[in-house]
Amino acid sequence: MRSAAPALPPHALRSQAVPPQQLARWLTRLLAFLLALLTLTPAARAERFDYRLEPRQIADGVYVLVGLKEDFSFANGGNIVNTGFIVGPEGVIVIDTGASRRYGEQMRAAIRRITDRPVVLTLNTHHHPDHFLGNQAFPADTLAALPATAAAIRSEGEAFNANMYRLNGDWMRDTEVVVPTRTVTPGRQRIGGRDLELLALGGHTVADLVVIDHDSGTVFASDLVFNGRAPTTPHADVARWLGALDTLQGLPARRWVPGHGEVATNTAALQQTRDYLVWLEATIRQGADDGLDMTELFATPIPARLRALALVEDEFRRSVAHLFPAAEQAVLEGSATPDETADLATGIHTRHFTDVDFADLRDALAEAIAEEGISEPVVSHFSQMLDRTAADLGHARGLYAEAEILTFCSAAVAARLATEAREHIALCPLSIAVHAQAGASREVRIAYRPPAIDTPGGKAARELMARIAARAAALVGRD
Amino acid sequence: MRPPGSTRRLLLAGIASLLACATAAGAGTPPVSTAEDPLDSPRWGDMQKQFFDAQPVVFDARIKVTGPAVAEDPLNVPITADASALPGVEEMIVFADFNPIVKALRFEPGAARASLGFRIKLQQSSPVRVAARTADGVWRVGGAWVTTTGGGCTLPSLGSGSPEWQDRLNEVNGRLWPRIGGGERLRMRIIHPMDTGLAAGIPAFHIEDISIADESGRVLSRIQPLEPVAENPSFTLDFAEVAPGTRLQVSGRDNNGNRIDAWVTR
Ligand SMILES: [Zn+2]
Repeated sequence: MRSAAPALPPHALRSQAVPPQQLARWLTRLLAFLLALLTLTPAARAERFDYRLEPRQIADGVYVLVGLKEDFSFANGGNIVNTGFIVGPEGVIVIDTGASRRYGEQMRAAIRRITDRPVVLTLNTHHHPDHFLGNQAFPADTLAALPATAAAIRSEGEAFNANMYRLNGDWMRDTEVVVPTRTVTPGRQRIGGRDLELLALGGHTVADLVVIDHDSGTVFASDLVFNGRAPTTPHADVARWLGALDTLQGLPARRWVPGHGEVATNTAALQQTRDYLVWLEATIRQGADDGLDMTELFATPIPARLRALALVEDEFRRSVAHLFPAAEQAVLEGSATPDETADLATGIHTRHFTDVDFADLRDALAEAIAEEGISEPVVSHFSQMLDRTAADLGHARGLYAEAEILTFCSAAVAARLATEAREHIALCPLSIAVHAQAGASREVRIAYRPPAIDTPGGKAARELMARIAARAAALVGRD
Repeated sequence: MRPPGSTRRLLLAGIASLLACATAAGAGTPPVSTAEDPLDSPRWGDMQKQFFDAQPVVFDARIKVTGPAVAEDPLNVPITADASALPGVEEMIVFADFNPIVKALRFEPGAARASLGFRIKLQQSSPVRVAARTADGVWRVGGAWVTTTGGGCTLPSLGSGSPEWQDRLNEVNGRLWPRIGGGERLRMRIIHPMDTGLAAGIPAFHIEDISIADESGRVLSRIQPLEPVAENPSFTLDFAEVAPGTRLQVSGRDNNGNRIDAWVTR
């Protein structure tokens, strides 16, 4: 989290010359902006409220309106969401209605340009405002949702709508909350002459509706799947969400329509959503376990593999605000058993896994190291060495079922440490051990001792090691 | 939402920060300033009168106020007020210019690092300021703007609607963590609705005093929260000198005289 405190007190500004060309450029831009505001004709202003919705046909009778990978703004008017519709022989099924009355009306018009068949069912996949605030534009008796979604729209809809006015400005004009009156029944059914299946899942919100069009193999995955954009979590139950992703993963789909981001023809978007959520939950839990304050957790670096997700920095901080209080409460009330324990006297951190295969955990560690962009670790076969030397040195054989040490060096961390003090070379490379207990080969542990120096480089090394351990745990499904 | 009438000032503040970026590469500047408000808030004059009156007060960039630029939950805005770069901080106060109740808390760090993590309610976008009085009697002020999209102070606390908190009122959930470099970190959360008195029909009801003492009874630090501190307040404090394995006693009271008393360990 950047501190919003200015880097310099204002007197510093006056005492130092500002490059005049820079000031001039800035003022020119400001002037141009003000002129543009003054000279807009009414027609031009009306144009500003045109979402330019262009339904894209992705399969026979299946259309998607792909929104921007942005946050709500006065510029996009809330067009950040994917909506869609399916044209069946007997009518049209609409999946989500967009962020405003204007969006709903323009979507309806776009549908009419493609077919004159009537809308027979208008679904709200969940109760987030960009998915239902276009309801006004559709026949009231076609509006339908899962019961928990309708209830949430009823209780939270007005507050969402007020907030959307603040975020999107005049695009929202005359938008009102319309609560769906029809309840959908999950299961496979013919609607509008089309072979559809409705799945009642949850986790992104209290109820998330997934629509499968069996005729084309298309899955409208709602906001359970994000593609190329960081997932949002204001009402999330992450564990339930991951369960829903398991369900989706098993569907025989030919293409996926995520709630936000591009349409996909494989399950990469599901894996990406899962990867982010697993990292998010582990990071928040680890932060709470480590006694971090929320403001410290805000500063967590986003792993390289997730940095390409649009809005990931903003969404991560928002998610910390959503999810950290419960994690913190669990730790403070002592109901949480920390994943990782640190022994104060020795400085050794351990993570304990039951019913995990040694090789799986070792491979997970190696993968977690690779994901940090670090070159392949050197592997020391610790238990084999001890078993070899047992006879000569007279110690017991089989101290471990198996034990290996992975040694690695992050160039970024090493450079920081060495920049701080040349003798910090003694702290490199870093190593993480993984061992299975003798006589209990599926009782597996990670053990490591992070450098204990209190410098930014030391902190970076500790965070790196904790991230690798947490990621490895996530990879073996024990985050 | 920005405070009404301040758009122009915000714009100017925006220019100022752009220029600050443009000139940040310049030579080292003294951290202390008596110049005008770096956050350019129209309320600064009132704040100065209310809190500092005739006392010496300067802006000081060494005071770090860390929080979200945009508050996701205006009822729970996490803030870390860090004046530990100043020597000899005797007392700190936290206030938000545009809150209906401006002052949020007072903190006497004592044996703690002059840094406190806590959460406040924000009614609207506002500077959140931290003033630290050093041994020379000078108040040094730092701050950050926090933007909100919804009111936090005039909403009733969630807790006061449910009977649950009554059984657990003033219950302390806390733990100590070893700090890297020595000493202990205390994190704690106290069950309390922290009603502001601004919601219709609900009188002000808040914790007003918390002392943290060691096993010998010596008071290490003191926090005096006020109405704008978030429901079920949580605090983060660092004690550099406290020995590992120690216990700390948390005691205090709310404005209705209900006692707080608990021991916190690792
Ligand atoms: Zn959503």
